[in-house]
Amino acid sequence: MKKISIFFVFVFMGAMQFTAIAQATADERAQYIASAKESNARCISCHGHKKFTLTDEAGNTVLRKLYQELFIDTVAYYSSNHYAFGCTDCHSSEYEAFPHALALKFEVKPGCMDCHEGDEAVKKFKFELINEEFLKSMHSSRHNEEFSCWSCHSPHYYKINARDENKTISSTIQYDNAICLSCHGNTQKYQQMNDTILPNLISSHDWLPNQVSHFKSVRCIECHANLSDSVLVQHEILSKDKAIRGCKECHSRDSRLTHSLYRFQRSELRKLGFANSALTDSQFVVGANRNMVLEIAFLFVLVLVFTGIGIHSYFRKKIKTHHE
Amino acid sequence: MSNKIYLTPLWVRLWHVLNAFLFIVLILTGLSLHYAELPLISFYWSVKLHDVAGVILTINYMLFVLGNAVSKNGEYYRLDFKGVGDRLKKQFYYYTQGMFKGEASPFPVSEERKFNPLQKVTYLVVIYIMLPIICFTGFIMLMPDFFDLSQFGINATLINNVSHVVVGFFLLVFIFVHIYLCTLGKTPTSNFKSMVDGYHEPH
Repeated sequence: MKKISIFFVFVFMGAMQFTAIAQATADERAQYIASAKESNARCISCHGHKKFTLTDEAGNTVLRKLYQELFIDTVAYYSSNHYAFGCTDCHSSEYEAFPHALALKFEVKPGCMDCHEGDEAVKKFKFELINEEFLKSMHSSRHNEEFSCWSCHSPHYYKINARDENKTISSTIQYDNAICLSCHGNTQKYQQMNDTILPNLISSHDWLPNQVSHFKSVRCIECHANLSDSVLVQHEILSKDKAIRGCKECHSRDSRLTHSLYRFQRSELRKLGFANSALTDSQFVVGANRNMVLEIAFLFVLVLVFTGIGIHSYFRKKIKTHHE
Repeated sequence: MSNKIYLTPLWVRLWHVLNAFLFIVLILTGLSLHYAELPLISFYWSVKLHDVAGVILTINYMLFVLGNAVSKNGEYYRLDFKGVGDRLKKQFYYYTQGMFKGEASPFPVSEERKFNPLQKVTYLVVIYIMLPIICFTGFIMLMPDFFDLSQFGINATLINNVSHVVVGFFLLVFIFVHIYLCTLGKTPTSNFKSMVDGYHEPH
């Protein structure tokens, strides 16, 4: 019953608010935030601080630390994509009672698709296709429901990134790799889902030359996810044995990077004659960044040289025959 | 045998044969890296071979420069800039017309003059301009984690890497022309033999 009521709220929200929130002007945004802050004030009075006090009926107080997962960074929250939401838009309104009822621990948390499936306001993000890719990913197949969208994208802090035109490629790389590293570079979080020891990323990538340059120039998903032409950021994460290891995948004319990290700039006209010129904005990829003007000049010089050699040889032979 | 001139000492011949071998490796692997989709050498092995050959070439180059500084061989590369234009024209005329008319070489090889002006200028450009550029830019590409040019803006990396490719191309052209001009000895193979035994056979 509770889940049905939550879904009703989502459907209602989807119809009424998503478009408005997504397309809000700066003033409207400020109003939404003010409204959300007001309705969230009670929750944030505890969850917005890393410590809280408890007082019993006798008036005794204790200072307790809040679990990291229960802490809400309000600055990050109110600048995230879900900035206009009240806590009880997604969580049960029964949380308004304190102490919280134990039964609430069994609350079914909503997933991305509960709100975004079939949602016209966010149609361009293709949530359905992203979900299809995610369900094929090794994260989903290995961890089942334990692994959800929220495992990588915090519902409280998620902020549009790859589509943000103000973002540089390097900040997108940092942002996306930080998502992977939040588990694969953090033993505690990694072992919440795995019984194995966290693999050392440096040694498992020993085969990769110039690791520092590679790690800061590309995202993990360039090699560890299947390419997708349907969605902007590929979500079908591959198991390590299926990850790309061939240098030529990126270091060639038809560089994989132009189909992933730089895919929106693929149709861009060649800049200064460079093939895959979008790549030269933040790096130089040997094999992928060939300058077409230079290539033609090279060809011209070579033709000239071999023609010269050919003519010279011809006359040498002719003179030799003449002397004989 | 009596009119042969001993011009190329053993150390120069050893440097030359190693240089030739390294050039072949670097050209083949360089092409494999630049045109990765061509079925030449795999990208992975091209990187390894190109790196190793590039480092050896640099060391070999430095030894050659040192050798030229302390031996007579360096004198063959000294260029008198006065009248160099006219001398270059004369040599160019000989290559393109004179030799076909049966005229004598304007700058015949002797114990004092190993190279004609055109050779001298070309070798000076190759040895003292192109090789330092290709070695320097190559080292930056060899260790991108260490030499991070992105701090100077992407154009620094772009300029470095494109310079490496352009100079590499002109060195490839030099090799083609160099090999062809070497067939202009007394016989088509005599100049090649001279790089084996050190003796030049005059026309």
